[in-house]
Amino acid sequence: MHHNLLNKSFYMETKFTEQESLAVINEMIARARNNVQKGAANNMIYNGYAVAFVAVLNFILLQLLPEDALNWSFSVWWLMLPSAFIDYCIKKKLNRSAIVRTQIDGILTQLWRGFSISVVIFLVLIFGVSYAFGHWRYCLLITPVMMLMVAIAEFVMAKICNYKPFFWGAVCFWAGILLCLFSYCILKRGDLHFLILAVCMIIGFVIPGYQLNSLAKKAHV
Amino acid sequence: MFKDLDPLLHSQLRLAIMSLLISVEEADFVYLKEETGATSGNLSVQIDKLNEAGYIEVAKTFRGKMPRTICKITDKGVKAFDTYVRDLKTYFRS
Repeated sequence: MHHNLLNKSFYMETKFTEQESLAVINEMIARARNNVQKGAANNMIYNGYAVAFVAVLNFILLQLLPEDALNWSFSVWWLMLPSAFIDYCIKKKLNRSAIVRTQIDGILTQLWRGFSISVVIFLVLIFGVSYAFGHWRYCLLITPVMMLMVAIAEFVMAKICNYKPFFWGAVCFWAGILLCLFSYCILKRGDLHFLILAVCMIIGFVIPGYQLNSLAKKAHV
Repeated sequence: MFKDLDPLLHSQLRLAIMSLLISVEEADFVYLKEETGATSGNLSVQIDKLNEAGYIEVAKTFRGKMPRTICKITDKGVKAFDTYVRDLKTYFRS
């Protein structure tokens, strides 16, 4: 909704007081700060669904495949490569339609770029260590550590964007990590963490994404 | 002591444009029009004035076949805006 300062007659060359001047500055800075592009969270929603889908698929394969073929179930994660390309296309389309670029956009791009680099380095590290020690159980750490990285990124995003649902998203991932610990140590199950990951991606990633998109839609009506 | 406010910035629409641009990296003409609620003609005239003063940079590009006007505040614009706000404060202190 436009402030009453922002009507056409206001811009006629009338007498402009210092108070009005200050009001214009405050109003415009606040509007720029609260700007959220339509469909801003499309990437978030897509990645949330993609990871949740692959995690559930991995869980199902672990139940269906014979014991000597269980390791093949993890190959479903290669699907994340074409998925990263789709993610890139969504981002590119969004950037093309953007009518404003804020400093926050730049910071968030860097944050998720840093996250992607960290994920790749972490995967190289964990597979390297597992191979070197011949102990593939270290791979059980992949899901909780990934969730930890998502939680940190979302926690930072909540502060930068001043958007509470991202904070609750981060809390959801932290809780998910504790559930993973419970499933490993108490239930002695090495497959449930995929279901925990899928649920966290939907509750902690997809839902805040939809909320943000709905907020942006309302702001641009 | 009251300081004279920069006449180029002491105008409703020009000040609104500068306040928006100081808060973002760059903005499209469409965004400025949406946020200020000004008419295209008026906005265009005021953008030209700010551009001529060197307060903002204006780049004309294309998105597909559609022309685009991208505005960005310059260092000179940031300094002028900063000075304007400081001068404005002197009115409120007294």
